[in-house]
Amino acid sequence: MGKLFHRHFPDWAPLAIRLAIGTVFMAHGWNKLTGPLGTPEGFNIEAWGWPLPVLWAWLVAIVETFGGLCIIVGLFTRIAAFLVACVMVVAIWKVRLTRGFVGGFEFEFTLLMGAMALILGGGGRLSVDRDVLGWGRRSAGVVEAVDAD
Amino acid sequence: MAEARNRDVGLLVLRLTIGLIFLTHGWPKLIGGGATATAGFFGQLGIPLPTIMAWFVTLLEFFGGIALILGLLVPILASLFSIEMLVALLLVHLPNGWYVVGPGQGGVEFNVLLIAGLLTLLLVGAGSPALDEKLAAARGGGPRVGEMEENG
Repeated sequence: MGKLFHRHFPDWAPLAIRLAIGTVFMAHGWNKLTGPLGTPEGFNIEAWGWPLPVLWAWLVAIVETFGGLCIIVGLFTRIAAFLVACVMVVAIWKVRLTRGFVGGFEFEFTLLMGAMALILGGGGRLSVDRDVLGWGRRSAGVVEAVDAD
Repeated sequence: MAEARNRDVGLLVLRLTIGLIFLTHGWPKLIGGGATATAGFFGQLGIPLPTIMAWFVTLLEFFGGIALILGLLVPILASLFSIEMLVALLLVHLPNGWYVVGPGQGGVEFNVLLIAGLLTLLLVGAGSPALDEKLAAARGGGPRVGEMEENG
């Protein structure tokens, strides 16, 4: 069955990953946006000692919410995936690395690797990138031509 | 065709990640007094034949994780792991809501993420290189799908 799908629907590869990762990031971003950002009660990175912690908190919340939305609808998929991947690298490095892998940063690592797969593969089927903007369509045309033989 | 190659690398990244996750969760079950603790947990959940199921899940996670990394029996393992994750989602994590980190704990989002990745491996492909593909080629299974696309 895998071969059958790979042969006939190779461009569907990113869809399930896009929906899952996009939903995760939108949920977490929305939760940050609707909470008291930049305060100890809400999302706060003051402890890291970075300059402008409130700005970074807003940036993370916005990247997660709208990056997640973009990934779900497949708009600028690769750029959005790159941005949330950057957030995950910082999250693993700053928050979770000391807690180990299992029960530590495994979730963030999986999100990071899923985002990597999207950066590599692009938006695929049912994405604005492909179906509206027409990106990555030419390769699909070649596959369809092979199938028609 | 660069796009097809990129997609294969993307699927490979998914396969390695998911394999690593299951391997690292099977290992502590295996060395931590075998599957005894897991069997007790399964019994509490009301899973039938808890000892047998606990051993099955422990061995599946550890050796199945290794096999996923190698790219061996990917469709079968992706199906089994999807079922395992669906059971874990429904019986263990659903009462805890959505979040794993941040606002909540022990929610379903990690299960959802793994199931999405597993379904991708099952329905779209295992990526390349994978042992399944090498074995098929060694058996004379003809050119692999990616090569057929490229030749077209």
